[in-house]
Amino acid sequence: MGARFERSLAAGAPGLSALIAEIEAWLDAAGVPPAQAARMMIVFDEVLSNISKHGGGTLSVAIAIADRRLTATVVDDGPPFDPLARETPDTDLDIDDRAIGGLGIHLVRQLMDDVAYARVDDRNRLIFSKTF
Amino acid sequence: MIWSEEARDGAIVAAPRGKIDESTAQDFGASLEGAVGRAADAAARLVIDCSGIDYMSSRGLRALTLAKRKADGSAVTIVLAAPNGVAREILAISRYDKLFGVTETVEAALTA
Repeated sequence: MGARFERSLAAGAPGLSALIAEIEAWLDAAGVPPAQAARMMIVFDEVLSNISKHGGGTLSVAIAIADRRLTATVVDDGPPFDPLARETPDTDLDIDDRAIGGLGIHLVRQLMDDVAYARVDDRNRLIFSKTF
Repeated sequence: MIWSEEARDGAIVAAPRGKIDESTAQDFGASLEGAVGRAADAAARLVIDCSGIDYMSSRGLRALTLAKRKADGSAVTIVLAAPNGVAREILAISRYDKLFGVTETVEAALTA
């Protein structure tokens, strides 16, 4: 038995925090343990707020859970943007030398098992998954 | 995110509760900066009791960065106390556990 969640939202619209709350409630209902759901919510927060800032008309989220594995597909029709092309931040630097930000995608990579980006049909598509 | 704060054993102990993400990071940052200012005025250490934080995204780390820069400029030490497993993992991945003192309990942060 698998569970599936699908929503679309106008990027940059004020509905983002409502969507994030909806995802959180859905993960809970799907039986994801709270500590694992927290890790996933960090990733959704990073990915969705990033897209929301980079513009584009519409973003859509599809999440599937089967056999204790979450797979999420986030698609937006904004300009080409590969978040994974960004360099990994230097986490050895002192506080004064650390870049403000840039850590988000690093957290996404570390918290998920797999993260992949593709530009498909003039859309950005980010797929990430994690076994919990 | 709910923020509460008390003076205790010569330190200021702040206790944010809830999630620190895109929607709450601005409040978190403003509260942190205010607490750094009060700690500086009182020449006190600032202990953040992290036990009520459900999770923290990079927005929260950014707020911590700004607060630490301000704290360093006014000789205030910030200690992160009692983070849960998820928060601890985020601090480790970002290596913020090398930038901040992290303790198991609030009591340990008061005496460290």
